[in-house]
Amino acid sequence: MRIVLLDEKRPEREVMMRTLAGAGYHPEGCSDEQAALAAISRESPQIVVFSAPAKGAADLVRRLKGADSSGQAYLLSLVESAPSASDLAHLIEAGANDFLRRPIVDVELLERLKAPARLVKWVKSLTTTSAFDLATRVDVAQLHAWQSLGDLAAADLSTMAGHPFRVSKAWPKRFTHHLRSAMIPMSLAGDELEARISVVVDAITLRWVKSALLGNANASADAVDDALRELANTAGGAVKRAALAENVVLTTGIPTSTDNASSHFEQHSCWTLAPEGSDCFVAVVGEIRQRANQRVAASQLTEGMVLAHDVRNESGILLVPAGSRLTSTSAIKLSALLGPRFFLEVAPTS
Amino acid sequence: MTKTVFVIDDSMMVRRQVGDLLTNLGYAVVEAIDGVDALEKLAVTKEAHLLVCDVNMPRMNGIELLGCLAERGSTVPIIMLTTEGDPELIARGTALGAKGWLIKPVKPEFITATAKKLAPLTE
Repeated sequence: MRIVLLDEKRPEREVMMRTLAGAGYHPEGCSDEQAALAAISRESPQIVVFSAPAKGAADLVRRLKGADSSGQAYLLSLVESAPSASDLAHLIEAGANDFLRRPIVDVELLERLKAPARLVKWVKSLTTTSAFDLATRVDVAQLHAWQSLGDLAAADLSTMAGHPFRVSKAWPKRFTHHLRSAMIPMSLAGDELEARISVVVDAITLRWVKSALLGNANASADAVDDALRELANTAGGAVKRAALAENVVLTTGIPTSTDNASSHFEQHSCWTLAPEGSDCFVAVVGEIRQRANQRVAASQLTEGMVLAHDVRNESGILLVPAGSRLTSTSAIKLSALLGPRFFLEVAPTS
Repeated sequence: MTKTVFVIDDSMMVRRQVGDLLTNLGYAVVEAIDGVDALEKLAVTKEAHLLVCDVNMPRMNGIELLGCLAERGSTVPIIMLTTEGDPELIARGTALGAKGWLIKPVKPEFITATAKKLAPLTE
């Protein structure tokens, strides 16, 4: 992946060049704006890392974007340690995608580049002619997004918790009993399938959730369950966005939390996420099951059902696309619109 | 002058985190658990200056809420805060009037900067 790095501070630039090259990127270092503009124009880099000047940063962003003929370069701005909110707003408004505060820490720089790397892959996929085809059976278990579930969840969890996670593909060896979990259901448009992503913690990890995520060692059980549901939701979102890069559209439902025994989870794909500097573990579990769709009258549509096919009106205009997960609002609207004699094929609620 | 921001999300943790962030900046925050709850609270709130809204929620999701508000001619700026990143969904949200689309997990600075831009606080 090509990166143009604009930084007038030579020592900082050289350290970052070594870090980026060591991580497999192809960086081109530039000490001034003119060299960077020429490099962007010539190389069409996927990522531009640039040092934001104290004055005129937004104008610089516009010039950098102007030199990018592809219009798809991801702009990561290096800013001083305490930029003002208005400075950041101007940077974002001008087109910068992210920022990194000085001093630059190599681990943080590489973590920040993971998101644009995924985005670049996604954008690239959008320009390909292959598209998700309902007639072609998709094996969700073979998707790179699904196989990378643990890494994807760890990347987003790191952002939420503020520190990195170690990832291994196994059920935690030292989990205690009394597990709690949250599960988010996912569907593949048109397919008789339910994929489930669960986030599982034990009593020790519950304490970490309270302190690291909720900032309250005395947080209630409801608050902890809510946090677990949000973790499952975040993992589901990460997989869904990554699946788009493979031209596969997954829909996610509303997460639920439950008490569960470990034996249920160990049969499926498991990852252990260990927060650095802590002795606890978060398990992320991916489970795929086939199940029969149901044919129901429009008047019996309920929240959580997933439409197996496009729903069109008499003129053929698309009302709701296949794969849509109904809310009670959309179920009531469709029911009123289509009436009791109209039947639809749906994946039932989880 | 204090300005009112609605934080609409079915996750209590997200409502608290975003709410605390905005409260510390000087905004008044109203929490809503989904689109239906937001509409009910908007109906009895004198002024709303910004809505920060999730997409996937029970009863009425964020896209449906955008549609309802657009039908009513609402001019309150809305930013979506969601795990969704489907370009088609983003296009639908933008067409219905969403002013921004932030993908969770998001850095607090982005929410802060966006709020200050769309609902600037005066001294």
